[in-house]
Parts: sequence; C-alpha cells; structure tokens
Amino acid sequence: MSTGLRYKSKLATPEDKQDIDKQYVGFATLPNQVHRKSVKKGFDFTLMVAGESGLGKSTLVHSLFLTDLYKERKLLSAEERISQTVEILKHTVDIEEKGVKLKLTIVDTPGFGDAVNNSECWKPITDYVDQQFEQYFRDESGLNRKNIQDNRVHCCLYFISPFGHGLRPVDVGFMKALHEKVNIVPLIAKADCLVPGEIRKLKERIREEIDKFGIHVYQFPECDSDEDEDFKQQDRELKESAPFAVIGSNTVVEAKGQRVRGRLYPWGIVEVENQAHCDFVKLRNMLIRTHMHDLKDVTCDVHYENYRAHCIQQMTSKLTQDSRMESPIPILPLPTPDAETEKLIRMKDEELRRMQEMLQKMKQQMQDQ
Amino acid sequence: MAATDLERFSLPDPGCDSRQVWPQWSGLKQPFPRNWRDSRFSPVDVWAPVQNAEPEPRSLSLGGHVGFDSLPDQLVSKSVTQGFSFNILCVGETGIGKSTLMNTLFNTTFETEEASHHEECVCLRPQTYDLQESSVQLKLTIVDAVGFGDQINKDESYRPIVDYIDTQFENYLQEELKIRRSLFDYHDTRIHVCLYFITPTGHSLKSLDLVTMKKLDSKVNIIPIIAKADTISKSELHKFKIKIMGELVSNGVQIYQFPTDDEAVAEINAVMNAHLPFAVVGSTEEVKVGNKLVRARQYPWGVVQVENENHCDFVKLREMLIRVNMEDLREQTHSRHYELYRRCKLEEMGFQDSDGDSQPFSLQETYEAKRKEFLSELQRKEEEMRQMFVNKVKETELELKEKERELHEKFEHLKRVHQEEKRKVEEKRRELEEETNAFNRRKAAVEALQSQALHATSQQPLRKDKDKKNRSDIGVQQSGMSLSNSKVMMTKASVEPLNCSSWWPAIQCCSCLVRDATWREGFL
Repeated sequence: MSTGLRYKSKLATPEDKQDIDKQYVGFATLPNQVHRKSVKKGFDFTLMVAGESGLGKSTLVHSLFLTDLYKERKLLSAEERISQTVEILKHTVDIEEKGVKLKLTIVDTPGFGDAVNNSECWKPITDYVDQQFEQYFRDESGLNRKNIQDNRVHCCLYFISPFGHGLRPVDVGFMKALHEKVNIVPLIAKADCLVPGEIRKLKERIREEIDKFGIHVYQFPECDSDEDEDFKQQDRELKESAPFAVIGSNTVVEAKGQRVRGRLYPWGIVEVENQAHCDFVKLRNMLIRTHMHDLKDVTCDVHYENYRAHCIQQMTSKLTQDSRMESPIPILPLPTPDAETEKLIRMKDEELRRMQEMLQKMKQQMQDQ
Repeated sequence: MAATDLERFSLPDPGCDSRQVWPQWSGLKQPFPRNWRDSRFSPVDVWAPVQNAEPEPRSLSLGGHVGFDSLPDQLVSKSVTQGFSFNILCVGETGIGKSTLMNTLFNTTFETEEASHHEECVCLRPQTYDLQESSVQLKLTIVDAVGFGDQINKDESYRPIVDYIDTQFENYLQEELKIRRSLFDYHDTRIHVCLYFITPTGHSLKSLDLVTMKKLDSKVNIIPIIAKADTISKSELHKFKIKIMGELVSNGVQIYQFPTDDEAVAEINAVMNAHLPFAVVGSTEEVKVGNKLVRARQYPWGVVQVENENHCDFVKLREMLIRVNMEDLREQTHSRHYELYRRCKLEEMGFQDSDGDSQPFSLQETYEAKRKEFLSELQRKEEEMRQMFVNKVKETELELKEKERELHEKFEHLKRVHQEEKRKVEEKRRELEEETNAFNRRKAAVEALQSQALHATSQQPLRKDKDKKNRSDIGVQQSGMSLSNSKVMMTKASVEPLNCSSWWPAIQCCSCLVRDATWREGFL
C-alpha cells in the first residue's frame, strides 16, 4: 500500500465536531499540508544505471518508467569497442501521474566494461558523482539559494551478469569505488536464463561475496514496530530477495487472453510483472512506490554529508599548510658554526696532533739512548 | 580456336577416372590433389608438359570378383582397433556453460569443478577421457580455458591459449623430426576444434571475442557458439546471428566452414553453414515432457528442451561436430594448420625447400652447415673471452707494480727523514754532553777553590760533617743548579716553554717533564 494515503486524516462527522473542537488542536493536518505543498513543488529523482553492455539496462528502464528514453541510440560494433572509454549520458524527462510531477533524470554509462582493458573504467563515473556533489556544495554555500538544482545521483542500479557464478572483479571494483558515494542497488540482469534453483544459489553467492569484499550496498530501512503485519511481511520479503533478479521488456504480448509485458519464447511466455517469474515488481515497488524518498534522504544525509565533511577538512588542512609558508615570523636557522671558525678549529687540531707526535718521538729517542 | 581445342580445355565430370582422360596427371610427382576443381589449378597449369612421363597405365576390366573392394573396410577396421583421438578446446567466460555443454554433447558427466571469477590469469586445463561407443574407442581430451574474460585487464588473455596450441604443434613436430619415431603410437594432442562461446548479449560480439578469434583463426578450427541461448527470443536471435557473422566477415576472421566437396554430406553441410553460429542450450537434468523424460531446463513459464530443434540448435551442433565432420576436423588440423605451423617454424630455423640453384637441399646438409657455423661462432667467442681475460690480468699486474714502487719510494723517504732526525738529535746530545762536561769542570774548579778557602779557615774534625753537609749542600745545589740549568738547556735546545694550562691534560710541557726528572735520567 502506498504510504501517501496513510496519513490522510479521517473526516470528522459534524456531531463530533463540536466535542472534538474543544480538545482538537489541529496539527494532525500537518501531513496533509506537506502533501499539498510537495505536490505543488514537484519531485525530482536521479537514477544511474551501470553495467556491461547487453545486460538489458535500457529495456529495464523502459519497463520501469513506461517511457522510451533511448530513442536514437547508436550501438557500437565489437571492433569499435576494443578501446572504448566510458561516457556519461544524461536523459531528463518530466512525467506526471495523478497530479504529482516527477522530474526524472537517468544517467547512463555506455562503454562500462566493454573495452579489452578495463582498468579504472569506473573513474569517469566517480568523477561525475563527485562533480554533482561539488556543484551542490557550492550552490549551498552561495548567497542566493533560492533555486538550487539537485543533480546529485540518488540511486545507482548495478547490473550483474547472470551468466557467471557470482561477482566478477570488475563488479567488485566498481562497487567498492562507489559504495561510499551513492546508494548501490545490485540487480541480477536477464534473469530469464536461470531456473529458480539457480537464481537462489546465485543470490546467496552474491550476498556472500558482497559481505566478503566489504561492499556497502543500500540497506532497506527497518520498519517501525507499530506498522501493520502485512507491511512488515512485505518488508521482510523485500529484504530476503535482494539482489533482485529482473527481466525487462518493452514489448507487449498476449498471454492467457491478457495483454501483458513480456517476452515470447517458443517454450512459453515470460511475464515481466509476474512475481513468480521475476522480481521486477518488487524492484519497482521498492524504487518508486516505497523507498524513493528514503533513497533521496540517504543521499542527502549520509553520502552528501560525508562528501561535505571530507571536502571541508581538505580545504582547512590546505589553508593551514599555505599559511605556514607565508607567516610573518621569519624562522631563523639554528646557529650552526660557520665556515671560518670551523677552519680555525681544524687548524688548531692539526697543530696539536703534530706537536704530540714530535714529543712522542723525542721521548722514544731519549729512552733508547 | 577450333572446336576440338575447346573440348580439350573443358573439365571432365567428377565421376570418371581422371587419369584416363588426362594422361599428364599420372606423370606428376605430386600426389593427386584433393581439390582438383580448385580454381588454383587453371587449365594452363594442368596442360603443362611433364618430362619423363611414365607410360600411362592401361585400365583393364576384371573377369571375376577379386576382392580388393574390401580395402576401405580393412582401413576402417585398422583404425577402429587403433582407436581415435579428438581434442576440443573450449574458450568462453566463466560460468557460460562450457562444462554443461560438454556433458550434454557426450551424454556423460565429466568431473569438473566450478571455476572462480578471481583467477589472476588465463590457464588451460586439459583433461583426457576414454570413451567407447559400440566398439569404437575415442580418446577425448577437453581443454578448458579457465579464467578467460574475468580479469579487469584482458589485453593478454589470448596469449596462454595461443601458446598452448603452439606447444602441441611443437610436440608433434619434435616427434616427426626424431630419428626413431613412432608416429602410429603417438598420442596426438593437437587441438582439432575450438568451440568459442559467445555471450548472448543480443547486440553483437564483445571486443574480447573479436580480438581472441582473430588470433586463433589461423591456428585452429573455430566453431563459434551462442551459449545460454534460452535468454534470446527467436527474432532477436536472428538479428544477433546476422550481426555476429557480419562482424566476423568484416574483420577477416576465418571460422571453420563445414566442407562441401564430399557430395555425400555437401548438402547438409551447406545448410548448416548458414545456421552458424549455433545457439545452444545445455542441460544434464531430465524433465518429464509428455510421457517421456528428456533433457531440458524447467522454468516457471515453460520447459526448454535441449533436443528440440525449435528450441535451440543443439542437435545441429552435435550432428556437425561429432556425427559428420569429426574426421574432417582432424584432417584440416593436420593438413592446414599444422603444416602452416611447421613451415613457419622450419623457415625460422633457416631451412628452405630449394636454394638458388634449384637443387633440393637435404635436411642433413643444411643441418651440418648450421652446426659448423654454430661451432665456429662458439670458438670465436671463446677466443675473445680469453683475450679479454689476458688483457685484464696484464693491466692489474701493471697497476700492482706501480703501487709497489710507490710504497717503496715512500718507505725510503721516511727512512731518510728518520735518519735526519736521528742525526740532529745526536748532535744536540753531543752538545749537551760537552756543556755538562764543561759545567762539571767549572764546578770542580769552583769547588776546589771553595774547599781551599774552607780548608784554610776550618779545622779537620769538622771535615766529616762538612763533607756530609757539603755533599748534601752540593746535592741541594746540584738540584737547584740543575733547575736553572734546565732552563739554560731548554733555551739551548731551542724548545719553547709552552703554557701547560691551556693544553690537554695528557700532554705535559717540557718544564713539567723536567720537573718530573724523567729527562734527567737520560743524561746521567
């Protein structure tokens, strides 16, 4: 159930009104006011999709938001991809549903993991995320803060290939580079090549490896204890099925007399929105219907604050370093003996030694005689 | 041209015996070429006159059944008893389904453990199995490229594979070149076919695939396969196959084409060639479909049957790989890839088929020549080194001599200096002695005078005391005298009295030394 509806207050009946008016203060309508204001303001959300090419990222985005964002897309041939670099492409769309406006930005990363040598192929992506943080930081510290554009990346969907036995080195490298900057939601792509037993095994494997490598993926927040039972049940199921095994489709097929989104095979039809076939519905609910705002909050409160603290620390340490160079107090060097006195001392030492030798010789001679 | 000439230039049909029609063929030194329809053999070559042609053999008809039509059967029974060997190389990403496909193809379970994604580099793991099917023995070797496609930097991924293939060729070449060789007994480990597993992305080949296949196409027969094909729908599959073949052709990658010259299998091979690359699904689990158990994969939305031609191309692959063209793959490996390797290798070593005079070089002569060259080279190097060594020794000797001389000189110099000093000290001593003598004489004289003076005035009984006193006086005076005398001596010796107090306590100035009377001992 959607959380938006839960806070709508019940309309009081006219009889109770007088009684209630005496004790009723009225701030129970605050949620409604928030609701109204936010609908007027509109929402924005930035989603990043990352993964090797051919894993169905664009199809999934299309299925999630039911709009075609990639109208003219040029797919490179294998030859051109041998030494391809990662690009960052942004697509922004404004979509509306029941009066609620959403400005959706999808950040695409074509070329990730495509080249033969993929060392540090995640660097352009981390640079982009840092750039957005920096821009927001600057805007926030500016004088006119009326219209700050929030381009920070709120969520990153990372597509893991289902053809392997778990995480690959490039997956681990990417996630470790970004887990402190972005909320990472790992997904198993193209899950229609795995039977249910294999899906279970792969999910366990991936969970183990995420723990092993110390990757901090996005954790669903704990639900409060006063929620109702089926909400808690849903939440539990959600947590247990991470990472989600998804299938995407942008074609509509006829199955059992209904038109559904799915993929048509000679041996059957895969329905994208069938919970028994894949976790697409869970992902959609989590991403859009229940946890979108939480993702934004975690980005603002945790990742952005980390970045900000780090940034300020660096700036202050640099300032102190710089100030040390130009301090008004001249630092005198220690009083080292200069060359003249040293030479004199050395000469005297020589003389001493010579005298001593001569004396010894004479003593010796006297003794001999 | 006359009509008869045209007839002469036309190629006869394949059915008849070419030796009858073209007697020139029988005289050729080369064996009868396999692809005589090949465009390389233009009519001009064929009609080139051959010297020393043997008289053509006459063909005769047989009166009855002789029985040499069993020759092929003899050949077959011999090879069956010998057994066959076949080597497959599987190249593909980890987890793409190589082991499962092998199990499915050969309908057995090869014991292989799951590979991890975090291998440092690609390594090849060969495993040999003995299989038997209705009295035909097959020694099957499956070589797995473990860790392929997992590393972050895949620039060198192809190298271990190429090295492995070359090593197998090298082993065979070594065996061929041996003096005592047993080729019939030799376990042939050359790779006969490479199954390249393509990831079903649905777009095109990966860059790594392209690079690797380009490196392998001249060394081994490549059959590309689309693995895990149950993730691609039919329409996507069609586009995908076209894209892949287009990319392979445009980049000049030569994959294995099923042979279309043997008319028994030409047709089916031609059809199969159009279906490349095969989209396969592998499974060892059995699922009940209808009322029989088939190998399949059970999904919530349906069952993918491995042996259903509608679902995937597994049956085609099995047909082509094992049932029809296995022997051809072996032959191609031997006659094309191995010969290419051998030629390159021997050319590297310096062998040629013929030198400038078109005299065929014998292996032995070339070998001898090379050996001589090598030995002379060795000798020259030895000489050089010896020369160098001798030179170095001479140099060091000279240096040592120099040093010796220098030391000698120094020693002489020091000795002279020492002598000088000694002489000077001797002189000073003599002077000192003279002075003491002079002083003593004066003293004696003064004493004599004194004693005379005393004698005149004093009496004899006091003599002993006086003597004693005198002696003690003299002793005192002597020491007093000596002290003042020491000053005189010091000035005479031109030794400066140095200020002792500013000095290091270990050193004493001359006056202190004198005070300690150590000096005096030398004189008395």
